[in-house]
Amino acid sequence: MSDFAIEAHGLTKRFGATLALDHLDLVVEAGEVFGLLGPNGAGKTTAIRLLLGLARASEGSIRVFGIDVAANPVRAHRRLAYVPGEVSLWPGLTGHDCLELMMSLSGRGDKAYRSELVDRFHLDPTRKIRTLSKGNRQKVALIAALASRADLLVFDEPTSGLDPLMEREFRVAVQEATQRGQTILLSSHILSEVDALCSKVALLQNGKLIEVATLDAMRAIASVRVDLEFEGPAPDLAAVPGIKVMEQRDGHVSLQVSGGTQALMAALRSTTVTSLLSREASLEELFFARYGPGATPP
Amino acid sequence: MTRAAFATFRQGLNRSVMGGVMVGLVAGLMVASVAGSYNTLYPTAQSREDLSIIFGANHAVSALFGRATSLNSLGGFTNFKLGTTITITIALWALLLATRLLRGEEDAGRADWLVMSDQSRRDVLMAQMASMVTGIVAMVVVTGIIVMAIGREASVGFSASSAWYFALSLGATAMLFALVGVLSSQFFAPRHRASRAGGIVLGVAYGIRMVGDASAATAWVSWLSPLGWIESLNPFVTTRPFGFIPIACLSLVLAAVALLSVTQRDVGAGFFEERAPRHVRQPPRNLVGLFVRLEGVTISSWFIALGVTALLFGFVAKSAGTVVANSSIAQVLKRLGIAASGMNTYLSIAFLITSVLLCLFATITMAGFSDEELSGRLDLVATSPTPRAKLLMQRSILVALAVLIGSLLAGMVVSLGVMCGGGHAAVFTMIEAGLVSASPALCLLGLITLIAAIRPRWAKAAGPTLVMASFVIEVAAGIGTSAHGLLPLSVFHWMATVPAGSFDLASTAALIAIGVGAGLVGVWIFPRRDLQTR
Ligand SMILES: Nc1ncnc2c1ncn2[C@@H]1O[C@H](COP(=O)(O)OP(=O)(O)OP(=O)(O)O)[C@@H](O)[C@H]1O
Ligand SMILES: [Mg+2]
Repeated sequence: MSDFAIEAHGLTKRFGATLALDHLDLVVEAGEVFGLLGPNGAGKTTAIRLLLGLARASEGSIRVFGIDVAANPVRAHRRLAYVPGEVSLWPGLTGHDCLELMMSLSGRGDKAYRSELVDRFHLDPTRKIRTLSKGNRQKVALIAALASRADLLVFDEPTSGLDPLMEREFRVAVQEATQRGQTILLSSHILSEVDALCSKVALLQNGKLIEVATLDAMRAIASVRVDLEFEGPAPDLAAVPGIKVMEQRDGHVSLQVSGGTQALMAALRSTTVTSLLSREASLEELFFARYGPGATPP
Repeated sequence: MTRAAFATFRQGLNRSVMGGVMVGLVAGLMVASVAGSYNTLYPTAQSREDLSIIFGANHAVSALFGRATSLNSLGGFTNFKLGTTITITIALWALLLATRLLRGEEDAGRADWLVMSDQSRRDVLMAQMASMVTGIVAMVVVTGIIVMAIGREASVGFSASSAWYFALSLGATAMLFALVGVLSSQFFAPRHRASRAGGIVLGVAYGIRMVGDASAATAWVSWLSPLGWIESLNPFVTTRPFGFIPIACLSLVLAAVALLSVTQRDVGAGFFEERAPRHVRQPPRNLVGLFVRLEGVTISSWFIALGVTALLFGFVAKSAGTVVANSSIAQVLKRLGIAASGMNTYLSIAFLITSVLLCLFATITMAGFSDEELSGRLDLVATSPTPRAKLLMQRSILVALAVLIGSLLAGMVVSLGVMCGGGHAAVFTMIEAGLVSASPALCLLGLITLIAAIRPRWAKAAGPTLVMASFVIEVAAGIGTSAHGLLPLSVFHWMATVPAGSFDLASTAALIAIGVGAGLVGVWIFPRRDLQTR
C-alpha cells in the first residue's frame, strides 16, 4: 500500500479554452490535514472533482492510496467521503433519511458516532431537507462524511454556512478524525480555520500550484511582521533588501521582513529604537502577501 | 410598468409563450386529426345518423365526454370527440404554468430578490400574471390560425369566426385555471402541494359536470361547475359570446382574491403549512429505494391517468365499434384483408393513445436522472462505491419495468372497461395489445438514456419533443398531407396495430432493439464524461 493518501502528477484540466488546472503535482501523506488555498477560480474545486473522479483529467493522473481514480473509481470511492461546497440533497427526504441512505451506499460507517455528531451539531434529523437552512443542510453532509470513518475525507469549503459554534464543533471533529489516522483534504477561504487545522497547505492561483509547504516552514520562509517605534522621525528603510514597509507614520514603522533579519539589524544600528515588536505572520498576511494588491509573484 | 416589474414579466415570458405555442399546436393538430377523419370514418348520412343515435342517447358516454349534440355534423362530432380532452389538457397546462411561475420560483428562492427590488409584492404578482396572459394569448393565436387554416378545406368548412370562437373558449379555460393555480400558489407551499390543490379543484369541477351530464334530470348541476360553463360554449356548433360572462366574472374574482392575499403571507410560504407526516417512512437504503421514494407518487399518478384513459376507451369501445362496423371503413378494411371488427379498430386507436402516454411517462421519468445530475445531488451518490454506469442503467431498467407494468395494466383495464360497457374482448389479446403499446416507449426510453448520458441539459426537453414530433407526423399523414414520406420517422408508425392487425414481431423487436442499443451506448459513455451541474 502506498504511504501517500493522494498523489497527483501533471494533473491538468481544460474547459474549452479555460485552463482550470495546469500540471498540478501534489502529494498528501496519509494522516495529514491538508489545506487547499487560493482566490476564487483558482482551481480548488476542479482539483477536488478530479480527485473524486467526478471529472476526468485532460492530462496527468491522480491516485488515492495508490489507486488510480480514473481507472478504478469504485475502489477509490471505498476509501473516501466527500462534502461539496454547495450541498444539494433531496428536498423531500428528512435529514435522517439522507444520513441512512449515504451510510448504506458507502457500505461503512459508525452509527453510534453518527448519533453523537447529530447531537453535537444540534441537527434535527426528523425535518425534511426542504425546510432546513443552508447551514443545517451542510451539517447533514458533514455528519454523513465524518460518520463514514472513511480513510480520506474531502471537504470543499465545508464550513461556509456554519455558525461559529458549529465551526468549532467541526474543528473538534476533524481533530478526532486525525487522531484516528484519517487523512483530510480541505479547501477553505476561512484562513483561521486552515491555520488551526492544517499541517500543510498548497496555494493555488490560476490553476497553478504556487507553493506547498507546512505552515511552520511557510512562516519561516515567509515574513516576520516587525513593528518599530523610534525616538524622533523614523529612518527610510524601504531600500533595505528583504524589507517591505507596510505602514509608516511619525516615529512608527510596520515592516514585513523576509529572508532573515540581519539586514534590518544592520540598518537599525545608527538609530534609537524605543520599542521593537516582532511576530510571525498570520496565514492571512501570507495570503495577502501572495495574492493581495502589489503582491510579488514567486 | 417599472423596470423591475418589466424584468419580472420577461422572466416568466419564455416559459409561458413557449408552452402556449406548444399547447396551441397540439390543440390545433387534434382538431385537424379529428375533423380530417370524420369524412373517412363516417362518409354516409346513414353512418352519421347511427353515430348520433348511439352516442347521443348513451348517458355514460355523455357523463364522461359531455353532452353529444349534433353528432351528424362535422362540428358537433369534433366538439364531442375533443371538447373534454382539450379542456382538461388546457386546464392542466395553465394550472401547472401558474404554479411553476409563482410557487416554483419562490421554492427556488428566486422570488426573494424580486420582492427586495423596488416593486411591491402586488406588482410582482401582476407582472407574473401578465406573462401568463401573454402565454395564453400565444396559445389562442396559434390554435386560431391552425383551425382557421383547416376550416378552409372544402371537406371541413369551419368558418373563421367559429375557429376563433373555439380558440377563445380554450383561452377562457386557460385563464380560469391559471388563476386557480395563482390562488392555490398563495395558499400552499411547496409547488407540488399547490399543484395538487389546483388539480383537486379541477377534478371536483369535472365530477360535478359528469353528474350534470349523466341525465336530463340532473342537467342543472352542470351550472355549478365552471367546466359546465365551458361546455355550454359549444364551439363549432353554436356561437354564444354571452357564455363567456360567468367565466370572466369568476376569473376576476379569483384574481382579486389572489392580489389581496399575496401581501398577507410570507415570501416562500403559503397560508396552510404542510403538516408533519403521520407516520415515519422507512429511509431509502439503496438506489432502488431512493427511486421509489422520489418517483413513487409521480409513477402512481401516471398509472392512474393511464388506467382512467384505458377504462374510458374500453367502456365506449362497443358503441364506437358498432358505428365503425356500420360505416364503410369496415368494408374498406375488409377489402384490404383486415378482418377487424369495428371495436377492434377502435381499440387499436385506444392503444395508440396508451402508447403516447407511456412514451411521455418513460421519457419524463428518465429525464429525472439528468435533473439529479444537474442539481448536484448525483455528486454524493457518484462518490459512493457504486459504478457510475450502474447508476444510469439501474434508472433505465426501473423505468422500463414501470413502462411494462403500466402497459400490462392498460391492457387489463381496457378489457375490464369493454366488459363494463357490455362488450367482449379477449383478455389475452388486450394484454398483448397493451404490451405492444410499450414498444415505442421502450425505444424512446433508450434514446433518452443516451441523451442523458451525453447532454444532460437536453434530456428534459428531448422526450416530449420526440413524442410530439412523432404525433405531428402521424396526424399530418393521417389527414392526407404530403407528410406520408416522413412516417418512418415516427415511433408510432412501427408499433403493431393490435388488436385490429396482428402482432408484428419484426417491427416490435426492431423498436426494442433500437432502445436497448441506444441505452447500452449511453451506459458505456456516461462514466466517461464529467458530471455537470447547473
Ligand atoms: N464546468 C466548467 N466549465 C467551464 N469552466 C469551468 C467549469 N468549472 C470550473 N471552470 C473554470 O475553472 C476555473 C477554476 O474553477 P474552480 O471552481 O476550480 O475554482 P475554485 O478555486 O474552486 O474557486 P472558488 O473559490 O470560487 O470556489 C475557473 O476559471 C472556472 O471558471
Ligand atoms: Mg470552489
